[in-house]
Amino acid sequence: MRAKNSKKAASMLVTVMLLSTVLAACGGNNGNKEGGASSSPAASANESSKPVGEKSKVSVWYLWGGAEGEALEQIIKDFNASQDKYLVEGLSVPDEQKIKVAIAGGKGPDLTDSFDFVVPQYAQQGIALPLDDLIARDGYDVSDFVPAALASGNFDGKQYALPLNVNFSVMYYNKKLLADAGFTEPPKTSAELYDVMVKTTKVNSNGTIDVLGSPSYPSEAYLFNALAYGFGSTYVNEDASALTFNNEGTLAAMNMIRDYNTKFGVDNIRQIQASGKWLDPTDPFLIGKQAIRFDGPWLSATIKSKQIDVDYGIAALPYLEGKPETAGSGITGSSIFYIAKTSKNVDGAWEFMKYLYSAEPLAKFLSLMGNVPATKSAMSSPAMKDMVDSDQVIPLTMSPNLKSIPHFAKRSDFDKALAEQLELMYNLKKTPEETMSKLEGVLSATLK
Amino acid sequence: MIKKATITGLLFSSPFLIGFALFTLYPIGASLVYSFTDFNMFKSPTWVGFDNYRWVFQEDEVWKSIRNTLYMVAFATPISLIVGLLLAQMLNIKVRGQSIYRTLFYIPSIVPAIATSLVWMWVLNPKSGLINTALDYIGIRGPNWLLDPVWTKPALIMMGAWGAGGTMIIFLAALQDVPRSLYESAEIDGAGKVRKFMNITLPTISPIILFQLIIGLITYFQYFAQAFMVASMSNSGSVQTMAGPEKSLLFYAILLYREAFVDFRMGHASAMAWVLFVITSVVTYVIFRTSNRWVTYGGD
Amino acid sequence: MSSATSAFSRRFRTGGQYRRFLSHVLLTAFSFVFVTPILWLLVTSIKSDKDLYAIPPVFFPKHPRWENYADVFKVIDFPGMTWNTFLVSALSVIGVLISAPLVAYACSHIEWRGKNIVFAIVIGTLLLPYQVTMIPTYIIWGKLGLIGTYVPLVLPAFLSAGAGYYIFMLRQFFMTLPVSLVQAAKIDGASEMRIYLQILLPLCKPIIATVGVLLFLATWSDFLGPLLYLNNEKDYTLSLGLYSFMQTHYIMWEKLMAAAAMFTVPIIVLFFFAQKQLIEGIKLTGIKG
Repeated sequence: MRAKNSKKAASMLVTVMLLSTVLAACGGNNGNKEGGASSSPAASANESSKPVGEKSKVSVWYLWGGAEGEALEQIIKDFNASQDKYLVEGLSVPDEQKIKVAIAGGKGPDLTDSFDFVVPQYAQQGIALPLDDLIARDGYDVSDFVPAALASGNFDGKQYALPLNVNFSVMYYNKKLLADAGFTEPPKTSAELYDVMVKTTKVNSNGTIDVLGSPSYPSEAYLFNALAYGFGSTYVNEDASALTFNNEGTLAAMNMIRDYNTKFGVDNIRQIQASGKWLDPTDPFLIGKQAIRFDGPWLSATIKSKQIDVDYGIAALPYLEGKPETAGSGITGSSIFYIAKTSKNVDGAWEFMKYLYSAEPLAKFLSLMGNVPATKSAMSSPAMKDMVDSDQVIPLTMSPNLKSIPHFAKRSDFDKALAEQLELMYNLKKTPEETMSKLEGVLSATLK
Repeated sequence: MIKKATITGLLFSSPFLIGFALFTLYPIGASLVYSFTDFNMFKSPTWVGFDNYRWVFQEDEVWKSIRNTLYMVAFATPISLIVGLLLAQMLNIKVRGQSIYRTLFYIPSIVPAIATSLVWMWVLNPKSGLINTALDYIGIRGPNWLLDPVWTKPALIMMGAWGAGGTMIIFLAALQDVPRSLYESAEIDGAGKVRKFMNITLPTISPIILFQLIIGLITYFQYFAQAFMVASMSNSGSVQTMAGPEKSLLFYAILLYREAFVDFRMGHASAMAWVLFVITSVVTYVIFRTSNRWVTYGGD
Repeated sequence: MSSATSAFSRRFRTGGQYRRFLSHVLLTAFSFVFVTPILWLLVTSIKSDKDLYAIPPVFFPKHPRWENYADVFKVIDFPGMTWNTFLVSALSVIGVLISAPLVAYACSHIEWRGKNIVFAIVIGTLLLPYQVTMIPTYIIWGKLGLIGTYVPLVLPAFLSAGAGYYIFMLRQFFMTLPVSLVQAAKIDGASEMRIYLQILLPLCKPIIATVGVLLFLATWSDFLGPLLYLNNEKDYTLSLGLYSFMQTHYIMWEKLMAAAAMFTVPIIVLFFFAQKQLIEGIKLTGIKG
């Protein structure tokens, strides 16, 4: 009797195991399998001699979707057609945590993208692979990159990532709203900006805001760095050894937001911020309900691709009143591509990376996204003409006053603390002075 | 004879026991070990003793997240229970189209979270949303639900109550099981609706209430999905911190997720998970022990 | 009851009719609250771009755009993902329905030493936050090289992992079955397996159906599991596929809502037809103790 029982149980177990093998077989046609289960990056670097006729697979995951994802897929297609050694497979994964977890589990992509501010974190956590050996091996010319952008992929003397673009905010203004309020020119200085912000704001009879004059949409958090750096602020010195946060530019930015929020009411501004989605046709700027907007050139691309009817102009960010020498100031950042530390096809990833960063593909890809490329060759490529408003935006990237925040180990803690304290100030729960003295303490602690 | 029964018992339990060993016991052990280490999934763990637990009890954000979570546990659990019971009570009357009503009330609990979150973004839109438009009609200015730190949690509680369909079904089954004879004898005594509900319905279904209460508590102690969606969809600029305005949506499970998968501090995350396990167990135990004061079992 | 309502009820001649009328009013009012967001989902799914962003908002579009549903198929492989979702859900249900009644039986009708210990373990797993086990489990699957397959989503079901709630329900049901039934069979010399398969399981059909439906509803919309373990668009389940409609800068509202409607319809239909069974089944478990 007992034998019978256990036989049945055993057959059940066998069924379970069989099922799981079948599942493993049908679910697992994943590009990553190519490199074998335990080949280290170093081993796979020598492994490129695959049997003739069989392309080695490279998996590229990207955060973009939709039109931007399709643009990258087009580049991938071109690359696959251009050579017969590698086969790149792209996948849109709009969840960065998932990408990181997959890399950690050894089942992630070979190549993927992110933003430059993650570089210190990814370098220290061991997510990204240093590219220096590959650069040296191939004698890859990095001088084509805009130096500041190239530096944004560098941490502790090693190049962990290559920058794709030079992101920075310009000032968009709604010509009609400015004209209605009696302005023929966009504001050039901080004082003029505040004047425009106040005079273009239209308030309903119940106190709520109809037209938002300030660039506080999508949020003050989104605005603050551009506003402060536009006013000539820097947060840390060049090697990030000391805090330079407490300066007149930062204070002016804080005061301006405090004054505007006091005048028009935090609740009313929040209502506008929640009323529409950023870059969606409900975005206040796109429906003609925001007079001034600090945003990247992708806003132009959005307006054009969605055929939105808004008469806008583009100008440099206003400079701090009385400091004309700081005109053209601003803060830049970059999107980056990096090779995963657990990549099983480092050579393939690197080949595709080099292709992606060559002049034509990069210009083709970025002009569609409405981004300024991070290489000089792509910037001067004729394909850039397709970028909406490139004639107005590209000259602004030449300003010597554009700066970026240099990398340091605790950058993410710095950003977190900054956002946390500033939020209380936006909500008028702390004064700019209180916020400044608090931040000086917390921020300098993250620099050590 | 005894031995045979033991073997049979083991055999019948073996799939579960193997699963328990592989997918519960081993991971529990592993996470207990991780909770005493500095570990980021990329580099091998290094022993740090009680540092992670010290961090859990000293970190302001952990305390903030505990306060936010307790808020949800204290308000969302009972409100969801009451709404579920109310719906079940309404449906426990024989009316035409009953199965349609049941389905209508149940649908919200099965629509995927991504769609319901987007729908609620619209319902809660302070300018043109359903709720504020309705409030506007009666002359009240509605709040900025998802951007005002005071209102973010009430908004989530509403969303939770809206999805109380699962609770409703269980209560409905319980209500249908209350013997009619009990009501009939109460009616003879001249009891009204409210008295019947308080004196007969509630005591009879009290074991189910206990069961649902515990499941509800566990759910809200681990509250994650909806807060995560809302925090990552709103414009508050706090996507990276996933904490909502002024950290009002920084729940324990959100912070745990952030420590684990954004900052890759598996030691912190594992220690947090263990503390959560202990808290949940203690609360459940206390409720069980005190439940005999209000729960009546059929036989007694 | 007040005199006004009793006058009202007189007009309906019997109290029953009046009560039914009142129930309908109440139920309709509540349905309205519960259904409006869903209705919005549905009307959004047939809006054109113009209606979608109209100011002031349009509730029902004048010219419904049914093509949104067809467009869903252009953005994602809807049939493929539906099949994947069905496969994962069905296998999970089968897995739990094979393994969970076994342990439920061991915790109820087999008199052995581990009976109460195993049941205590089952209850214990209910209390365990999934966060505790999530990370190490992921690491195990990574070491086994099974990330990117359906194994991590399905295999645990065959071992009843994470099915504590259902084991509990099943066990409670087994407890309501008379011991005499089992004893009589034992005297006749039937093995435990035969008692289980030929006597008890047939009696369990309603509760097994209930557990199956509840489980199917839960796995159909599971998101975290597929998010963690599936790395290839071909393998995606629908809940993951829905994310394709949300992009970094832009949500395809109307298509997302159309997809969500199509995603939900099968489970709504399932619920509609299974509800009576479901409620009866839950009653049978006698979870009231």
